[in-house]
Amino acid sequence: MNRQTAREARDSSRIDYGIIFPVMVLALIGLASIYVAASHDTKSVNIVRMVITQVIWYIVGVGIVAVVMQFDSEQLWKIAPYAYGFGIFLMIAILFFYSRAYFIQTGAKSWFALGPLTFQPSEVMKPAFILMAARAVRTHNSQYPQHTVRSDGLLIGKLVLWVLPILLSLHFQNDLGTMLVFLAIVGGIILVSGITWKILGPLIAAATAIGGTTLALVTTTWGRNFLTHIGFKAYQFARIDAWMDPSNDTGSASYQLWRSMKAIGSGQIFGKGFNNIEVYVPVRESDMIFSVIGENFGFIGATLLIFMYFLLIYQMIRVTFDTKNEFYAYISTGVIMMILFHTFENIGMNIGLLPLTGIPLPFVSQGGSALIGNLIGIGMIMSMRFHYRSYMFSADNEQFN
Amino acid sequence: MKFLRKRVKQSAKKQSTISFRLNFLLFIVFILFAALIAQLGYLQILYGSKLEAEVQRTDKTVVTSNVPRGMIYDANGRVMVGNKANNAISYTKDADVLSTDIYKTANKLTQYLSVDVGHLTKRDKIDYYLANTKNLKRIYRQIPRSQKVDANGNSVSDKVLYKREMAAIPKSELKFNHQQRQAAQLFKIMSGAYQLSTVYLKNEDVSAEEIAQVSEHLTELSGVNIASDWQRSYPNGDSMRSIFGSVSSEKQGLPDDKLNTYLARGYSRNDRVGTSYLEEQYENVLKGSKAQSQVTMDANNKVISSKKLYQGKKGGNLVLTINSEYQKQVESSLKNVFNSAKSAGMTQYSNGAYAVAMNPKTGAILAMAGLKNSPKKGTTSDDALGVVNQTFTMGSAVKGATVLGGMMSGVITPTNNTLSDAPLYFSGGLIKKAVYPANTYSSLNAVQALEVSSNIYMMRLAMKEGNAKYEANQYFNIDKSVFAKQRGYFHQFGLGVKTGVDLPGEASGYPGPTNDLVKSLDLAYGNFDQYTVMQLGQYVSTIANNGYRMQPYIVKSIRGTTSDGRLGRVQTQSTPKVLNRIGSTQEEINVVKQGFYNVVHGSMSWGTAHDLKDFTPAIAGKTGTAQTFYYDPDNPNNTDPPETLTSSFVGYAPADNPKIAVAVVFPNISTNADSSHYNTQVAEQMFSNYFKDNGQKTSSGSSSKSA
Repeated sequence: MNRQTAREARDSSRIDYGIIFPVMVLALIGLASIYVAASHDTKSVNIVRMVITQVIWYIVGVGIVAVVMQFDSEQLWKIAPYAYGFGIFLMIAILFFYSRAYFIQTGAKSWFALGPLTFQPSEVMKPAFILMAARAVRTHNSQYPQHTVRSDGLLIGKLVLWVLPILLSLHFQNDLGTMLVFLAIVGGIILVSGITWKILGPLIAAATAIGGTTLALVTTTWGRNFLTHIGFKAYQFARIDAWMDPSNDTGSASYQLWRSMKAIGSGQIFGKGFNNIEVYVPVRESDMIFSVIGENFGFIGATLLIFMYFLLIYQMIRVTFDTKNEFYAYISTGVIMMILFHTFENIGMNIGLLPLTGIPLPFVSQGGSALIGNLIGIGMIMSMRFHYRSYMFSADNEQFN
Repeated sequence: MKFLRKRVKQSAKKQSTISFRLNFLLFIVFILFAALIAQLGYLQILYGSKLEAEVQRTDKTVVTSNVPRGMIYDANGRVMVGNKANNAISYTKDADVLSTDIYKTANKLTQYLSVDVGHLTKRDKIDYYLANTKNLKRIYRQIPRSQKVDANGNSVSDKVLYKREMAAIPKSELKFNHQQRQAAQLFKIMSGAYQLSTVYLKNEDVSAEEIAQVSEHLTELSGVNIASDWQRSYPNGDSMRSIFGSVSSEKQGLPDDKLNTYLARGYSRNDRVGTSYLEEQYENVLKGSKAQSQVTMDANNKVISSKKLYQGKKGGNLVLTINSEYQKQVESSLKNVFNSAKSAGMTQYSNGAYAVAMNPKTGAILAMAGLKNSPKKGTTSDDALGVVNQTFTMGSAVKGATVLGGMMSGVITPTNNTLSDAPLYFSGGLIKKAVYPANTYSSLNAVQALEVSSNIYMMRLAMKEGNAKYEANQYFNIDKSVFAKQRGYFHQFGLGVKTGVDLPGEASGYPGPTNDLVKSLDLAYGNFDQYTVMQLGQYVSTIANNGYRMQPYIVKSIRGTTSDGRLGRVQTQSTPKVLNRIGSTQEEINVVKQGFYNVVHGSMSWGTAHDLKDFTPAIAGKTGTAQTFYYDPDNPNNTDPPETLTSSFVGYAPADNPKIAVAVVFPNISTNADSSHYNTQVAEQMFSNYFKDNGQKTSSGSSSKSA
């Protein structure tokens, strides 16, 4: 009995409010924005239903967080292969059982459809892969305590092997955006895994060089001639053009972007106020949700939103420092990279900094499976603080720095 | 757990690496987010007001609506070309109307309105069929997935998809019943309209019941309205229709060949424009000014407001110089005389008959009539326009210009103008002489030469002008420049140049080739170059008007419309315009006028128009008979074409103070018609009707008398 109350008291202090707070704020912003987007949709949609659906997803998500945080690092370690295996299974199954209707709408074979419910397996693949990658790095690092070019090369090779089936599946699903998310996760974990600068330096240099060359090729005439020569198609350039000069061509691709930029820009410093929408932006409720925030709350609101994400990531890094567990460090790196990439790409494409891809804004955009995927990640981070005390009482003394 | 932590403990160095790398990661996050905020600042602060202005931007579009076309009146204010108002059902296409909405409206309309279903193409039917959401969905489902995506798995473009959907419609689905065909026709018209523009769904034979039905349901039929349209009407029958020309229908719209010109002048593609003759020439006047409304649309293409800028003005009315009564009389004279020639068997190769009457002092056209005869079919048709666009070899009628040309060049003078009338004999046996027997006259002066229509006199004039070297039966040479010299004189009278009449498509005549020098002599007596009847009229008017060449005109004034629809205030009055004065003195002109007077009133037995002698007021004139050949368009290279005569007459009356000048031609009548005087018969009737219509007493001599 006594033990019971002590445990409950401990439970409450073990809840990481530093993480819950920004997620809560983002969720509220999300619900408000979805409400605004729904009220201004040109098609008559059921506003209440749209918002309620999202609330239900949150409730489900909170339940999942509560479950996931019960797993301590040992259990996470153990379930990692099973989670990864299950994820891969789904990723293969999706290639055969994707929703035909969604495929026609979006051109990606990424959705299962069960009646009215849709589900994107790549969203749960993300946390599963993070677990597996963290486990792989941790295992490797204990086998090769000294980082050498050779051992690090081996580590990179292992990570590539783990991520390869996912990338292949995503390639066949025709989902470039999610592929980039996985690459970002791998990149982040490679960075934190302690790989020697002898590899990291050239990697970064090579990435910069490739990026720069690509940019040079697609933006110049001779470069395009060269690319056309080796088999690139005109529509691929059209997308780049839409991104580089959206106001010039208000055709299909850049139409959305230019609308979004107009919406956000016209919000100016203070925004137009809640639920004041003047610019129509297609698919505002999901990928272009940031345009609602930018238009309604202006530069100040948008900056606050970005700050919330920064706060969330900062809190994740803080808890990683606090708990000083290498396995957890890799997990939180993966989750951070996942959220970072989603946030950066989504906001970036809304404001014309990056080309358009179908990537939702974490915790804000409408849509269930992305939210669940992100919340599983949050659950894994929250499990750190939740099980931290149990390490404190253990005999071992961990040192992080 | 222990297993895990033991490993962690193994390397303190690793721990510090991790924390450094985590901080590094946080740093990257910071940089990336800072980049986002920088771009946000750029968008929202730096460019915020600009983008805000872009959002607030409203498009102002000026929408025009048509006004009735101006009418055409004759000199006495009789309506020649009017507008018949029709009840019509119109449709104005709003901004951002979906084809599904149009589909619904079209279907509803068929309950109240029946339209003529024109030619519905397969595409029209398909567009209508697919505008139905249910049909579209069903067809979409029928298409195999492989057609919906390209090789890369991207969904194909809307255009390609629509094509595939079109192909996938089963044929049986496109077998429309009556109602569907009607709806498809309406759908075609409605969807073809430009945004914010108005088209007519039905503008002919709209029944009162249809009007009632549609107006009762106007609220359900968005964009549909009761309107009125007009149609050209000709209350005076077909007289002069070829001069009036025609107006395109809304369906025809702008003519292809002038599309860009009209578009540049602000016309829309379905505007009705004059496509020929007066309607085309005076398009600017007749079209009026369209009513203009300014429609303001916001950045989302929604109409915010509409403001009437300009009420529009009905097109200006043309008042012609022609009196329709007199015109009809001229037409019937021409027809009667032609028919008598026809019954006499003289019109086997005839091109018809043409006549023009004008006021010699102003150039105002009093009547212009043409009768086109088709020798092959033996049918005739109205061709008033032939007066300005058909050219003929006119014959001796032009001799007045030849004589004045001789005086202008100085080879004869009013006091010294007697020339030998001996025929011209050329080596090779060619003899050039007058119609009368050789050596009837040993010599003639200018007045006599005109009276008896001496070809020899005219040829000798040309030879003098061209410094010809001539020895009977031996050799002949003449300056080649004599062609240009003679034509230069003729041009001063309007022969061989455009008269400047206010009708499009005027011919400037047809000059013959100048390689055979002897032809310059034929030119002198009107047997070589070809002229229009209008040029002949201008030429004789110039002589009648003492050397002032007037620009002929058919539109006397442009007038507005009063509120009750009658002729309104004069907007523009045509003023007589002197194109040039010929380079002759009055004394010289008087010689020719005397000659022309003597043609009718002279006493020489070979005078050519003595049958008009007894007509009062006195007529002066000149006949012409050209030796011509029938040109068969089906046999253009015939080396031995049938010989014909072209008989012409120019004249004016009263001889001392001309009020009317006429030119008449009967091209390509039979060579046996030489003494029939169809030309003078028509002329006499034209003179007599003119004076009668103007309340002046006339008495005509016997026109049966021939000289």
